[in-house]
Amino acid sequence: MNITLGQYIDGNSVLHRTDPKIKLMLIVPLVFSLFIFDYKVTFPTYTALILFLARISKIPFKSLIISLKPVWWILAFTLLLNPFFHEGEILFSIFKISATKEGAVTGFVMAYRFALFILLSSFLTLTTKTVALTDAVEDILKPLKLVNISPHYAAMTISLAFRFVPTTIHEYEQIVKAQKSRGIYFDEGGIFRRIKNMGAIVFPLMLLTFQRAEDLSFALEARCYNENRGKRKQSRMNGNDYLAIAFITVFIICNIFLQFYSH
Amino acid sequence: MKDMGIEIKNVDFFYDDNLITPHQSLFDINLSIKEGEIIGIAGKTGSGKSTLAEVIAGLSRPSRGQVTVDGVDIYGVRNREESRLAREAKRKIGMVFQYAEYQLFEETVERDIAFAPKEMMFSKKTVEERVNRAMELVGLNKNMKNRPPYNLSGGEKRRVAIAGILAFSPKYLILDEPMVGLDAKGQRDILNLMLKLNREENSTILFISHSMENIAEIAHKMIVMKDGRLIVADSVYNVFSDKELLKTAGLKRPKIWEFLDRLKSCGIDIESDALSEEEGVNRIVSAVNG
Ligand SMILES: Nc1ncnc2c1ncn2[C@@H]1O[C@H](COP(=O)(O)OP(=O)(O)O)[C@@H](O)[C@H]1O
Ligand SMILES: [Mg+2]
Repeated sequence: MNITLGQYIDGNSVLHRTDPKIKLMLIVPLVFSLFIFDYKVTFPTYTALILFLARISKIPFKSLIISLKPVWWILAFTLLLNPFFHEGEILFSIFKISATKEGAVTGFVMAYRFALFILLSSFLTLTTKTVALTDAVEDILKPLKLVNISPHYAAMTISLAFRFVPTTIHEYEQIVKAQKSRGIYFDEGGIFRRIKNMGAIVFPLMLLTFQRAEDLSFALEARCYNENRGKRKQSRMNGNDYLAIAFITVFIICNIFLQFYSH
Repeated sequence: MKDMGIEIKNVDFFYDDNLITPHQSLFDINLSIKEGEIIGIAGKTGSGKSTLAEVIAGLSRPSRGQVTVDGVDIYGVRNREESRLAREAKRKIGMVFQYAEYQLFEETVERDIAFAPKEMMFSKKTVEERVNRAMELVGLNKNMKNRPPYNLSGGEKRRVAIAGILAFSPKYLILDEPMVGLDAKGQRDILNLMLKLNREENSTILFISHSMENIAEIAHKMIVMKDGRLIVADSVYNVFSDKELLKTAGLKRPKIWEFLDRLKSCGIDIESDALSEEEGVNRIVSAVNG
């Protein structure tokens, strides 16, 4: 299938060669500082970071934009609704509801930050094979053993969920078409009719998803799946990994510095 | 009227949600479908059959080219009036998707089948008539009306889904691998249903199938797709007579034809070009009686 949500693109860049575990762990402080620091600091620095990462990993710009596709409506809602939910300088009014400048700015900041977050995370899936990512997640989830949950199964579940995102998008598109051929136009009618029509997509999609989960668990059992299969050799940290850690650390320190000393 | 039927002109289709380069899955398709025909579409997996079916059904706008239904261009809409006409024209086409049973969502069989005619604002009485007729056509028992669709058998679900399309009486019916995943009897029923719709309701039928036997048995005309190109649209007999063509498309002759070919190569005096088992049996009988 050709639909992507940041599906792996082959390559041999620093980003591709860095240990998936390190990448996964570096994402956490990056996302954290993106959300806590002032947007006036993070927007330029993170935009630059994303452009830089795209450059060195040779990920086409188009693939990055595509990774935003599944969330475009969240972005659109954030942009369009926020102006109406904040007090401040009134830009215009419709039906006694006013759009404010402050609201518009808030909407923009929220949407842009969210987009940066998605773009940043998509580098992870774009430069790491699914299998490698599963292993990495498993390693990181090791502490779960203490509470009697198998990290292997937990990792497997998470990566299967990721794996099925494209399939589910594909099925969503199929169901929309199938219902359209029955004369349902989802972009028509009043709000109640639209909500009702959404059911024609949501129910079949849920049913399909549950059914697949069931099929999958049977298939795994039938193949005597158990967590001791396919053990791989432990990797040591290499130059790449140190470089990546150093780079991201410097990046975050720069952000901290700008946050506290720029005013 | 002279321009009745469906005309497909110079259609290209790209899937542009692809990664780096858009993926072209239809190349310059030209085809005309006349009223009352049964057309079988064959071709390997990935050859573009489903994409073509969706374009014809008015569900996927082609990247280039034109599709007209009874003279109305269904994609080239420039104003309100044309948009209304295009919508009307699209409602003449019903498409049964592959694994159509997955589109069921209402609480009862009856409500699911009634969904399309209701959406098209038919009167309550008409809707009821349509539902009854559609259930009768696909061979669903009346006492199934109030059952929830989810716990029916696979074959029954598929019939409910097909009834849901038949309920708005589309003049043109497109079916994407309608027999796939059904048992022998289920397949036979769908085949008979297509014949019946064609004969009794005068429906024009376009169906995709991997079974050459099914195509040979009921289709008048046949389309062969390969790598996004339509390589032939001709009578079923002509297509199966052309060995070279079948080879390039990776298709086989119907089993009965191949079987008679074998007999012939063993020195038996028999014509091998039989399209149905019945025809084949007759050939054998007359060869034996000599
Ligand atoms: N949703 C989609 N996105 C991108 N490419 C697709 C999509 N659906 C089908 N394709 C591609 O288009 C081509 C034709 O597919 P399809 O029409 O489904 O073939 P068929 O029905 O003959 O098996 C294939 O190469 C397939 O990979
Ligand atoms: Mg197909």
